[in-house]
Amino acid sequence: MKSSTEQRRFLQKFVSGERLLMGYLLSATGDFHEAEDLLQEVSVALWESFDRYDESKAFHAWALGIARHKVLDWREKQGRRGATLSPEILDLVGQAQLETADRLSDRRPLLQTCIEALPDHLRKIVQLRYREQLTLEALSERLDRSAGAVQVALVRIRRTLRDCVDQKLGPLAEAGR
Amino acid sequence: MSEDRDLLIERYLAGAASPEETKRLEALLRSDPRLVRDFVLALDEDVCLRALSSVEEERIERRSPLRRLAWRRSGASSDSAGAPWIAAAALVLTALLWTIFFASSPSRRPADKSAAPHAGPVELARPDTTPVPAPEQPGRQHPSLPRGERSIRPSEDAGRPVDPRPDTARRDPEPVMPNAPPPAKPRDEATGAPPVARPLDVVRPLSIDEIQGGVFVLDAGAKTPARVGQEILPSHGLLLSEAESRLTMTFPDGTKVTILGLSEIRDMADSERPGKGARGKRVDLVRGTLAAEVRKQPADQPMVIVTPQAQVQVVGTSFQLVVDGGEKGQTRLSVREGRVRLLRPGGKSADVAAGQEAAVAAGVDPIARPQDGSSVVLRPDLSLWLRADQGVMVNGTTVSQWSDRSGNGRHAVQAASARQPLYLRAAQAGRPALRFDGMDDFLSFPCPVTGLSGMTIFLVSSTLEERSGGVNGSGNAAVFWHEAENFGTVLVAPTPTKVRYFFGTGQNQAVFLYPRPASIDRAYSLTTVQKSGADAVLYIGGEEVFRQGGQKGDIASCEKVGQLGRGEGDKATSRQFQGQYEGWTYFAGEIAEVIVYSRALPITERVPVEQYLLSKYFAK
Repeated sequence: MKSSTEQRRFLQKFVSGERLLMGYLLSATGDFHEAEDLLQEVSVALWESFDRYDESKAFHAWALGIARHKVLDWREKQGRRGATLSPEILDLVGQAQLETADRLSDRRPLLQTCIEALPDHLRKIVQLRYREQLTLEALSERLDRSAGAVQVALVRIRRTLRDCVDQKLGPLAEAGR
Repeated sequence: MSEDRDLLIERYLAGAASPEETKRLEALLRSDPRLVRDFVLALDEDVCLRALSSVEEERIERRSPLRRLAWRRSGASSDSAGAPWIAAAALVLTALLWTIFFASSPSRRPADKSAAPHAGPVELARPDTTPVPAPEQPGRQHPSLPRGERSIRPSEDAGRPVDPRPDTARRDPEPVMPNAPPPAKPRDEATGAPPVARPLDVVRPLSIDEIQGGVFVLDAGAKTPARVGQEILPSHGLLLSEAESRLTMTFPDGTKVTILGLSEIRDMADSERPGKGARGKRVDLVRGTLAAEVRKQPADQPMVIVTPQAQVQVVGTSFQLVVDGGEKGQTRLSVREGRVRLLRPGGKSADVAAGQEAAVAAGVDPIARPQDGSSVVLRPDLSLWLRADQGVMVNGTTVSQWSDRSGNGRHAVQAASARQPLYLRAAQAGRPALRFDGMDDFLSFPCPVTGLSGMTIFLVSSTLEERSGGVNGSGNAAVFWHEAENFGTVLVAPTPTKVRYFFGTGQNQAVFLYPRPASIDRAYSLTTVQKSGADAVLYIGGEEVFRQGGQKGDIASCEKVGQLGRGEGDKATSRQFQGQYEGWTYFAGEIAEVIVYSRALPITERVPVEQYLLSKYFAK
């Protein structure tokens, strides 16, 4: 049985790394729902093996290690290897995440402000894509635009948001990349 | 970054990349460390954008093939269960909100809402700001009107306190919505001329047909008991003061309106402005329940029902409107026939088709989804919602994951296939459930409850055999959080003859035990347990049956991960409980739905959830 202190400690660490884990799982699955489900499994696995976590090591790295195993299991079950990135590339991604974790966390609070600054029509696309989680195909239908145009719009939205965050970060922006 | 690379990333993160595109992306990532960083940045942006968006969503259709299968299965059963609704060929609209309006003084009463052009049989649209017509004094009849109809002048308001301000200044501010025409300027204001009387409104009298329980007419601050046959004028409000109160009225065209308990109507009128047209039946429903069968209305005079959150326009159908007050209230729309637009002022709208429902709350736009009455569950502080008719990931015949529908992602999982519960397609009322074998089946879900001062758990389940719960009574639980410190356990354990439950506050006390008056054998039941301040209350089938007082304020210390199908054992001694070893005891039974809130729901919120579950699983 874990003590309440241990629970609090776990929760604190898990929350601090949750988005990073989610990003890793998203890179592994290319599907937000699959990533959410996997995150659930990873969180349970982390909790169950928290007794074995060595405090002297970085929690994020330990958590990504467990997530990596879960991803490998998931790949076995899903048989979707062709449409997802290989474990080798995922390792590169995980490594880059660990290296940039602090800088990424600087960007997150600014994103909300930048979304609000988007023109209405672009904000609508953001809502459809991320809140309603429409596929590109469905988004294309909803907006009555070609799939290509929708993808280009999404790319431009991402650039706009990224530029906006960079601008707010100032000199720190480049370091965050 | 080149656009081509960006597009590749975009397509991959949208799940739209082909194997070839994924290979290309992989090759690029392998060769360009800067692209890896851009990719990581895009991942983080997507996670943030998703997190910043609403959690209310429909997820299941875009999930894995197994889950889609489960969805199709559940959809089939839902359809069959919902058939009577569809056969009724009616529309149900539910609105829930709270009583800031209820507490309003008469001078704060908003103006009447005139009808706007409508696009379909029933539509929710923005409230209008047309000034309210006042009733004429009793007995005053316009000479040109047919018998039984009355004319009224705004200046002849005998029923309200006189407000010395100009008419336009008396109007309360209304929420501004897009797409709505600006309110017409009063003629006198436009011309600068002295005010002149507006055209006479024709008011078709409304009379009370039937009364049950406490029903009052509100008139100029006075509250008098309503009488059968009494005429209701536009200045009259109605108050149904008891849960069992009921009032039925019929409009001259045969449209029938029934108002049910604990409701308040601010204004109610059936009028026409000669030469202007755009009036008709109007009801300003502050809270409560209104059911109506609406005859076909003139196209330019739809029946309009106004709630503080929306406006409903009805041309001809039958529907039910429930308004439950509260700052965190919501408007819910369920459509039985046709298509209805639900609009949130300042937000988005949703076209809700027959068999679908949608909800609107402050800051929450409507999303149409299959109708089963479950939108009452979408409330603040919903911690966990597991329903066997949605989100079940089947591994052959067993369940590896039961997806949380609360939006918190707290899925109940079991990786070991031998310990996964069995999926039953039609367990209760034709609806699915999960069967736990009582030997080793269980699911675990992360859902912290430590420190909560209130908590509500709804459980629809059946128990296949009587089990004692071991020496301390906390074994064999259907829903269970293990204690992290002594007397910290939280559990619900219905059996055929008893219900055991506990909200551990650290107090040294026995598990609460309610002996049923008679065994329910293997029958399904709805069990609700609630920690509310010093009380731990048990409801069965929506009725309170047991209350344990004297409880400390907060739940003391539970493990963060809860369990379904497994209760406490004695891990230290491996004591035997009902033939089980290994330190746990199991629940032999079936679970169809579990809903957990991180607060004690007041009766106005608890009862709708129970009604949803009762109608879903126990409808006669």
